[in-house]
Amino acid sequence: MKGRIEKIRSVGFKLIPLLPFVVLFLALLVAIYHIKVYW
Amino acid sequence: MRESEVGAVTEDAHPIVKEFIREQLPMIVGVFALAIMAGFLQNGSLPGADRAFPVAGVCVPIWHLVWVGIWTGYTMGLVGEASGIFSLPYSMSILQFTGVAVSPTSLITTFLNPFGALLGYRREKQWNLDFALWLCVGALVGSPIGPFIRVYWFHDAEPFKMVIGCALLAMAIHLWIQITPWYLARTVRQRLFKEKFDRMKEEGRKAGRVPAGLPEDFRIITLRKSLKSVTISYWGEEQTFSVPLMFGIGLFVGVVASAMGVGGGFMLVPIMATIYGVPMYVLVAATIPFVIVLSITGLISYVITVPMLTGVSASPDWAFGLFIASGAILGAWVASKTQKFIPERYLKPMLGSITGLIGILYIVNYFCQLPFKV
Repeated sequence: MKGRIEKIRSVGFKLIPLLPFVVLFLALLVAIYHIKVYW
Repeated sequence: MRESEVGAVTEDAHPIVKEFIREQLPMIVGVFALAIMAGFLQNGSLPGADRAFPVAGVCVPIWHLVWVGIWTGYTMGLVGEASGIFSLPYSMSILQFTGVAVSPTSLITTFLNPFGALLGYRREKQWNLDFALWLCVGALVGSPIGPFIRVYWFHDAEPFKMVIGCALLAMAIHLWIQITPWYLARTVRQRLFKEKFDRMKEEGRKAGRVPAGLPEDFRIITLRKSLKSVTISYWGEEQTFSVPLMFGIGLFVGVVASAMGVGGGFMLVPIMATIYGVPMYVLVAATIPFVIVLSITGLISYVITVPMLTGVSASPDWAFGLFIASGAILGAWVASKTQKFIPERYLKPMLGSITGLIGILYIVNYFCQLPFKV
């Protein structure tokens, strides 16, 4: 159990550097959605 | 045995969850509730996707405003700044909120945005009011002036966007410069601090410890203070700051930032980093209180002083700003927790490219109309 949690945690820490890129990509998608619907 | 092992593992993660529930969540929920109240008070009903925000005059779903706060608070928090310099152009260009009121509305966000990170920095001892004091006094004097400049000279959207474009371009250049060998050599203290921090992190990792923040013994201590200079010490380093220069920087940034409706971190960080080479982990002790002081005095000027002395109404859209702020608090907190694990080498050029592109579009559009809306 401990090993599995450690594994999840270590994968999680490896994914943190990708977070800003994911966030910016989602921001772009939401902006495009807003332009299409509300402009 | 296995249960106790599980308990030990979850105990490691527990303080962050506890911190979020105890400190951040009440703040986020409180600001969100304030936004709903402000919406009802200002409009009579809740504005959103179907009903325009009364001052902004635009229809936008509430979730979208919260999301704007989250992503701008997060991305700007990663580079040690408040969300304003991203959320302001986004509000103008994507959400189409182009009136003068966009500036004070943005100041609501920049005022509340740093509180999430402030508690975390204070707990990690990234805190020294003597270091922040003269910058804050400068902001206190300068930021009530900025709103008059905005109302008299930059009340139209196009020239104002051009000014924002120049600020974005300057910020883009700074983000790009930060990864150049010249800048890294110039900011020796920053490099040494980062190397020391990375060494500590690596040692912790080898010892099987969970990656954490600054060491327990980290403190920013005042060694000497007078009306001429302030000397602080942090993690074995000693640094002296000129009081008149700090006041002057605070004053200048205060005027410019409050005229735009941003927190001023985008100017203060490069100025302080270039003149003094202060490491980011230490600089936040000054920038966070500075942004809070600048935003609240600028906001008071827009709401009270400007209408009183000029008769021009420059009241913000409270609900609009508070919804963004509720998301920005969350974003800034997540940024303060993950900042140390994000590789600056990729992040800064990417953010620099985005801000630079938007900045250039704003400037070009002022001189020759682009075939699309910016």
